[in-house]
Amino acid sequence: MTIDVSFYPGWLPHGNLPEMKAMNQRKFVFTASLLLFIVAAACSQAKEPGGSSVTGVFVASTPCSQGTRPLPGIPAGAGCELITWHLTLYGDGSGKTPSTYILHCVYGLPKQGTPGFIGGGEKLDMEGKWTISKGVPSNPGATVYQLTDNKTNKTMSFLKLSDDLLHLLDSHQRLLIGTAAWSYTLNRVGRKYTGNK
Amino acid sequence: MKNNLLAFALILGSLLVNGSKAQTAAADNKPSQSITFHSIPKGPAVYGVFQGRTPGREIVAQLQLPATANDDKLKWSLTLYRHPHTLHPTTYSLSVVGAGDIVQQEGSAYRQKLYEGKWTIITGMPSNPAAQVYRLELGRPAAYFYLLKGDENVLFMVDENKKYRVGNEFFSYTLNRVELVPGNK
Repeated sequence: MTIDVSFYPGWLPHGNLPEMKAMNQRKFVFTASLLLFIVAAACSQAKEPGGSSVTGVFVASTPCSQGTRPLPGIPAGAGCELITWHLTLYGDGSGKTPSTYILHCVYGLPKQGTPGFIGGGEKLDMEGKWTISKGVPSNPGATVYQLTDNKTNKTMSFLKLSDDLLHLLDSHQRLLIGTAAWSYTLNRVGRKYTGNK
Repeated sequence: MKNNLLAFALILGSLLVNGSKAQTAAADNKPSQSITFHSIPKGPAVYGVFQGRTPGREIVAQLQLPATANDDKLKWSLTLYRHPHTLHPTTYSLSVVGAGDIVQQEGSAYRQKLYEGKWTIITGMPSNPAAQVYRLELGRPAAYFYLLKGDENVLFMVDENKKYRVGNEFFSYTLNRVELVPGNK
């Protein structure tokens, strides 16, 4: 789609300079606004239109790294030791080309003796687009899933261990180190471990 | 015209700049501390201590441990030793809590299985011929426990055929390097 915006001030006798300047400014503002509107409209589509399919659903309970957090939106000072993840990856009709994702998380302090949180935890939802790239410093052939958050434009990276396992990476594309209690590996839902099969 | 191009360039540039990273900074990605009331292995022969919690049911079968009524999770603590000069693998000790023999303690009891033996590094698994796999001898003929080396700090449990194990919403089959610290008795 092309957009052609033109003004023809040629009818102005002898080209009135102040009016031409004002018109140019209006032209600038109009063009910028139009472009911004087009971009915003495109970006607002987090979900794939009809025809997308679920590439995979991955779940996990992970630690909550101190200092910089594994997710945007978790305050550095928040009481956070545990995050539960529910990640849905969408693809094109065949599910092979990445498109969008939806991530539902709950974070907070774990309730002793249960899988839940003190006070129910805090909910955190993210959505946006995801892509596939190749290589991490330790393995040029590795497959990496990169998820970009629509709200913050920040990215998270996961190493694809297998079709059923993803592992969260740090800012230098190294495996995130878990704790004695939880790890940063996400597990596919619905693909039952088949052992020797 | 120039102003239009400038506006377009500014907008396009803001879109093309890669989103900043959301994940944990590398400086914050380090082994966590884990409290222990046992003696802490030290010295150049200690390669590392790796801990984690995994689902219980399937791996209990691999280790030929009796199934328990409450086998929803197992707690693992693996200490790997190596030769201090050659750095070759030597021995390991492994504690699995949640299965195995009953251990009585004040007012309660729990199940635990302890393993000790030799370990080696082999190369290759079905999905990755170059993968480094730690092989732990379980003390029975041709019985081994395999761990895929993710990196120096993260190990992934794989099955007898060196295929990945898939966890659940609560636990994964992953062990993490920890720094043992003494607990207050």
